[in-house]
Amino acid sequence: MRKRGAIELQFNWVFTLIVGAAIFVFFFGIINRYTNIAASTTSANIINDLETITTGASVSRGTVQTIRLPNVDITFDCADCFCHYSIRGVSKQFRDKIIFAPSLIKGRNLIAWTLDWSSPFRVTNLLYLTSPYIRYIIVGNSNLALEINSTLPSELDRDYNATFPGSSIQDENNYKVRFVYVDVLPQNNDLANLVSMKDDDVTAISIDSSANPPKIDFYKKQGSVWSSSISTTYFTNTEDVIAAIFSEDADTYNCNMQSLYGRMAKVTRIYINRTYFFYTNPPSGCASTLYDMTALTTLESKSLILAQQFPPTNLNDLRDIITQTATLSTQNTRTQLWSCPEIY
Amino acid sequence: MRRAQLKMGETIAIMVVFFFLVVFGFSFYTRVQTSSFQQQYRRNIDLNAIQTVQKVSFLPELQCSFRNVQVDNCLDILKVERFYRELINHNDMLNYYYDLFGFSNITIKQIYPEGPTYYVYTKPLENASFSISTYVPVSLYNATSREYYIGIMEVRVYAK
Repeated sequence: MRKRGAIELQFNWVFTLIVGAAIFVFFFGIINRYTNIAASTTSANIINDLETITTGASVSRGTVQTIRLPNVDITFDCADCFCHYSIRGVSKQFRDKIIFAPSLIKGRNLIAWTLDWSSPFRVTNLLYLTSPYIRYIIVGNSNLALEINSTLPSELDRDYNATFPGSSIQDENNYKVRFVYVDVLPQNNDLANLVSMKDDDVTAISIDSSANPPKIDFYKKQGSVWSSSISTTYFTNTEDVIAAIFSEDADTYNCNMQSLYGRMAKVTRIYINRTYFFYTNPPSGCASTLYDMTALTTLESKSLILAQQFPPTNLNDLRDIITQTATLSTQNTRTQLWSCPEIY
Repeated sequence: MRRAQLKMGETIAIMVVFFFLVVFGFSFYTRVQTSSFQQQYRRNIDLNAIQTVQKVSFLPELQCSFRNVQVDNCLDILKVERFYRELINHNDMLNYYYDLFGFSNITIKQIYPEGPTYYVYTKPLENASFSISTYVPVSLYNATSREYYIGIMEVRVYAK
């Protein structure tokens, strides 16, 4: 009788243990699964809201907005020029948007800034995204340096130095620091107090506006000195320079420039068709020569080349864009002087 | 022996009731979640419709411009006509703008003086379960005669 009771007691304990463990595993599985689903849903909602915000921001010209977000990390990446942004593994492609941003935006605030990109007609708005916790240090006293300094919004954490700042630059606990050397080369002394920061988090660009075409070199900190130029790319206007300032590296800048020139080719095609209409049916008092299409067709063909590869293997393609942009601008002014319908 | 059997039966009954409650709670939660997902889906489609309207309203390919200054809510008829012609004649153009507008129909009806309907983009979704239409009043600019007309732009976004 005592033996049977002992077996019964043991069986009850084993039974309770097994059932308890099964219930525990069951609920743990459910909780784990739903935690993951809830996290993914939240990320997807933030991504969708961000998509709406960026669309709204990208259609309004020249605006700066500080957007409050949940405290999540937003990563930006371009793999084989498929650019996307992600939050906790949920990604969204840029698609039609042209976004220049650092690889990581941390914190609750996101700065969204748009600038109009014209060549010479408006092609699109460039969207610049960054964090107020990233520091931008502009060095140089050329006209371009002054223009960049006056153009950058006050919402950014930025310093302007006409001469090399050297050890006056202190580590202010920013998670990224970007030096912008305008018409000067990077100086190792400027890194004196930033040696403790991770190499990947301290980067620089050096802009050479006197080169033809004007160029930009990307650098990264290597211990206490700057690396040699990692890559070289090019620009045609101030908006491009600002795009390079906000881009993590030359690859992301180049990929977005490819999208930009792809977009330019499409817009140019519409202007070619419209101008051809005026060329073949000139309004009274307007000569058809006012609507010569050489500049427009060159802009289309060159932008198609740049949409395939940026920077182009033949730099003359970029130079042609710069010269034909100026030519078309003059041509458009001529239509105004003759009180004729403008080309753009 | 009978007491043990009774105890075992009692335990099993408790377990059955317990799991019944779990299954009931779980199915209730799933239903609530499904309804919440449907609401979220509908919200995303609404947002998508708003985005499409914003994109088309500020597209430089369609907007009026004077000395490269864009005029809001004004569409150049010559640009609109040529834009649509490019879309229907060139697949690469249609594919490119599909990324912008997705499955939607965008038309502009000239209402004053009464005039034609201009097509901007037509890519309806086959077997769409519903569509959202947004109407935007716009100015239509005739660059040849330099006259302005009044039109209504309809942006219809399709969804499954």
